[in-house]
Amino acid sequence: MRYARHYLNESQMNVFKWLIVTATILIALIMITPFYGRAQISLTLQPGLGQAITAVNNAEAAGAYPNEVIPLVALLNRALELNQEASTLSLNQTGEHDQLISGASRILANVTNQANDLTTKSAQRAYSNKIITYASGIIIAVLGTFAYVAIAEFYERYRIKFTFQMKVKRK
Amino acid sequence: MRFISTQNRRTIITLFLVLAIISEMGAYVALTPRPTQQFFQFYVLGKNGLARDYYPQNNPDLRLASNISWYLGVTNFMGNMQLVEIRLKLGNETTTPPNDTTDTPTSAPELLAFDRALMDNETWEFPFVWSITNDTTIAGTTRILTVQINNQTYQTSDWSALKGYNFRLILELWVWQGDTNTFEFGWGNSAGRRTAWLQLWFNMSSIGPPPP
Repeated sequence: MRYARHYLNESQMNVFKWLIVTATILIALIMITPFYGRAQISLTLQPGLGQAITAVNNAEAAGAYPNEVIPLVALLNRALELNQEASTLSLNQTGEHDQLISGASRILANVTNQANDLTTKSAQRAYSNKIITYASGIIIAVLGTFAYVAIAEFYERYRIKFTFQMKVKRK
Repeated sequence: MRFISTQNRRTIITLFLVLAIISEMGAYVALTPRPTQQFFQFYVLGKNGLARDYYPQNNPDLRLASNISWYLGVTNFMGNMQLVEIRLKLGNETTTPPNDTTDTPTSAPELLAFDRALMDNETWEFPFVWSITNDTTIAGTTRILTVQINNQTYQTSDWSALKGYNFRLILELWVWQGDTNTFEFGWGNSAGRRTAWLQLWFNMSSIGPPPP
C-alpha cells in the first residue's frame, strides 16, 4: 500500500508559520497577564450565599452551640475559596470556572440544608431547656416550702418538749 | 400535720409564692442572653506581628521589589456569624478617605478583596506580603503599574503620585448584609452605624531594591 505524501506549498507554509506565531503569542500573553481587578463574589453565588448565611444565623439565634456552627462556617469558607479560585482563572478557562462555581453552589446548598436542620434541632432543645429551667424553679420553691414546714414542725415540737420539761420554782 | 393545722396556712402559701417568684426570676436571668456591645476589631500589624516595623528599616520610602510584610486581622464581636470582606484600595495624596460621619467608603480604585465567614469572637489574621514590581515616572509623576500581593501579580490602574510622594493603601472593612444580599461598608448595631478602615502611607522611589 502506498501513501500519497502531501507537501505544503510556500504560501501555505507562510500562513501556517503565522498561525503558530500568533497562537504562541496569545498563549504567552494569557500566561503572563497579571490579574486586574478584584475577586468578587460571583453573581451566581450571591443568592445561595445569602440564604446560607441567613440559615446559619437562624441556627445560632435558635440556640445552636458554637461547636455545631463551626463545621458550617468551615463549609462557607470553602465555598468562598472556590469562588476566589474561580475569579483568578483567565477568560479561556470557562469550563473550569463553571465547575468551581457549581461546586461552591452545591456547598452553599448543603450549608443551608444543614443549618435548617440545626435550627429545628436547636429550637426544640432550647424549648426543652426552657421548660426544664422554669420547672426547676417551681420544684425549688416546693422543696423550700417543705423544708420550712419541716423545720417549723421540728422547732415547735422542740419548744413543746422544752416547755413540759420546765420546773416551776417558788421565789 | 400539726403545724399546718395550727399555723396560718397563709404563711406557707406566701412563702411558696415568694420562693417561686425568686427562683423563676433566677431562671429568667439564666435563660436571657445578656446584651453585648456589637463591633468588629480591624487591624494591620507590622512584620513581627506588632503595631510597628511596617516598612523595611522603618523607612516608608519604598523601592521596586522591596518586600513589605504585614498582618491583616479582623475579630468578630457581633454576637453571631458574620461574612466580612477586606477591600484594598489604592490612593494618593488627593484621594478622599472614607467618611466615618456619613459612612461612605473612599472612591479610590479597588484592587483586591479578601472574604471570610467569621464565628462570633473569632479572629481572622493572615499575612499580607506585598511589593511594587513595576512603575514608571513621566514628567515628575510616578505611576505604579504592577503590585505583587501574596505571590500574585496585580496590574493597577491610575495609581500615581507627584514625585512618588504620599501613596496610600486604604483598607476598608465591608460586612455582608442579609437583607440586601450584598456587602456594605461598615455594620449596624444598637448604637447606629459604624465603619472601620485603615490607611498606610508610603513614598515610591524608582531605584532598584536595596543591597542585601
